Amino acid sequence: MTVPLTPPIRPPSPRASTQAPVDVHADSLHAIADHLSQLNSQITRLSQAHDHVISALRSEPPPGVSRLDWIARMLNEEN
Amino acid sequence: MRFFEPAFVPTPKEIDRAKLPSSHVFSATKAHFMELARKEHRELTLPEHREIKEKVLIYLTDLLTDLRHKAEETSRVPGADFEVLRTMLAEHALHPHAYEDVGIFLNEKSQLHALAIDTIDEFLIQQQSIESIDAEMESASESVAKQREDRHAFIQGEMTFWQYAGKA
Repeated sequence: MTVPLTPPIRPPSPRASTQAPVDVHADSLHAIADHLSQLNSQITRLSQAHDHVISALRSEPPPGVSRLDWIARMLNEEN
Repeated sequence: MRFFEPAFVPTPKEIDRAKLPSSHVFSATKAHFMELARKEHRELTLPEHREIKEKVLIYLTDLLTDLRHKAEETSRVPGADFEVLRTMLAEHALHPHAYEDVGIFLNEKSQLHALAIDTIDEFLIQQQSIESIDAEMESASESVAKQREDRHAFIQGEMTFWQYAGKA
């Protein structure tokens, strides 16, 4: 007796025909929204770090404090 | 405030009037048309889908503009300041949160580049998708053609900038 190499094709489920059609447009828009939200959160984190470092570099140390110490102090302050 | 009531989905006119950031305009427009389609038990129409995708392009344009401003701002930071930051990282003179911020800042160039390339890729995919919707609608009016030209010019400029920034 020969054994079939491929499994038999399952007939479509009778429930499938009663389900609402999948809205491919809506699905693609959800995927875009997820992707954009991921991009946005990466950019937000990068911007926070950028703004924090730039403002520390731009601030002037008070007299008697070295610039290196001042920048370190500014960076160590919470955002 | 009426606008933020969860059951309330603003119309495109109300969204325009509210002068929201482009990320919110995209979400609000998407929510409006999806709610409308849900109520009417139908799928999104091509013009609705097209309008949402137009808002995606505006959102992506803003993201790219932000990234470019950041890249330009970083390019003005003197080399000596980068040395100061590297010294601080090497000496562990920073709190963990500041240490992380400086690490991100020093790697910013490559991160900005990667994010910009990702945004441009998404932009091109969405633009192509809008063009295929336009073809389906067969309504490539003059204003649509003008918008398309402007988008092409914008994205060409961005691609040139980020290609150069990647090599520099």
